[in-house]
Amino acid sequence: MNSNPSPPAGKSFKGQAWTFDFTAGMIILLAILLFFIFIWNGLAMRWNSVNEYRQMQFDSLFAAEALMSTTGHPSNWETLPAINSTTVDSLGLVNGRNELNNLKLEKLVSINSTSYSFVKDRLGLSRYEFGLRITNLAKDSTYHDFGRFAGPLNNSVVFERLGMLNGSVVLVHLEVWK
Amino acid sequence: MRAFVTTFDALVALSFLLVISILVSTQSFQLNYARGVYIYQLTHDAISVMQKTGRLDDAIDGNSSAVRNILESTPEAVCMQILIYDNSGTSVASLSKFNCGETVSQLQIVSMPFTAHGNRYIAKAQSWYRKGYS
Repeated sequence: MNSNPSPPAGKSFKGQAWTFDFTAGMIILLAILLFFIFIWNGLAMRWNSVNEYRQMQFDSLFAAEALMSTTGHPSNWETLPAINSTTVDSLGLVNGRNELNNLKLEKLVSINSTSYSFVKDRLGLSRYEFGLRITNLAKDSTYHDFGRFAGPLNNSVVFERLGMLNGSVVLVHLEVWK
Repeated sequence: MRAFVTTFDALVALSFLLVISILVSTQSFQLNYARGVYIYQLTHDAISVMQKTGRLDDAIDGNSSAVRNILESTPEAVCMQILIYDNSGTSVASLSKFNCGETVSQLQIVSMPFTAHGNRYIAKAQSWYRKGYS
């Protein structure tokens, strides 16, 4: 005994089968497309964040190098009565490579509250926050502190450089974050 | 049979696609270049301050504590070694940061000539990232 109903005379189920096949195919295709859009979106977001971090690393490298190997321009910027975009072209903290100038450091610290944005701008760090700390090698004594510090943030760039201050070797802790 | 082969073919292709997608999405993006430049700068700093503060002279005389003090003050992720050669190429001092294995990642080398007690020497500082930090 055949339980399947017979199609009416002159018609068949073939058309229904094709519609079902087409619908199933479209659903699978849509699922695959959505999957790839999801993956691609995730990749694009990660790639953007990696690029942003890479840019921050490079900007930090240049800032650290400018501070640790140049005097700034003009070289006596720390003696100027006003520190602004018309008087100072670039900032540096040393007399010679790694030889930190205490007067430049003191001036930098003294303009922390008034010229933080200007200092960031001159170091090429205007898009980020920035902190600079000079400590002894054991890190238990801080000599100078400038800017803002992120604390234990994952997306901050932290560089420690070595310098000399008043004949002693010191650690220059540079922190750039967003 | 033909439908089975087509379905099987599609499944194999989709599996490949899925595996490739998963591989691509789980890739970690490396940021090695800037890190390499950073340890080069740090190595340059180290050898420069050692030379300018007379620590390299002390190391030649057998007093290595001041050099070691700087080596141990470098960031935990970084390993550093200082080698000093006289003008005949003979090693006169070799100092390494403690607990640094042989694993070398992004090795950076800075050499600097200097004079101590009227003799000429070459100081060579090399740095790399410690295992687990590269």
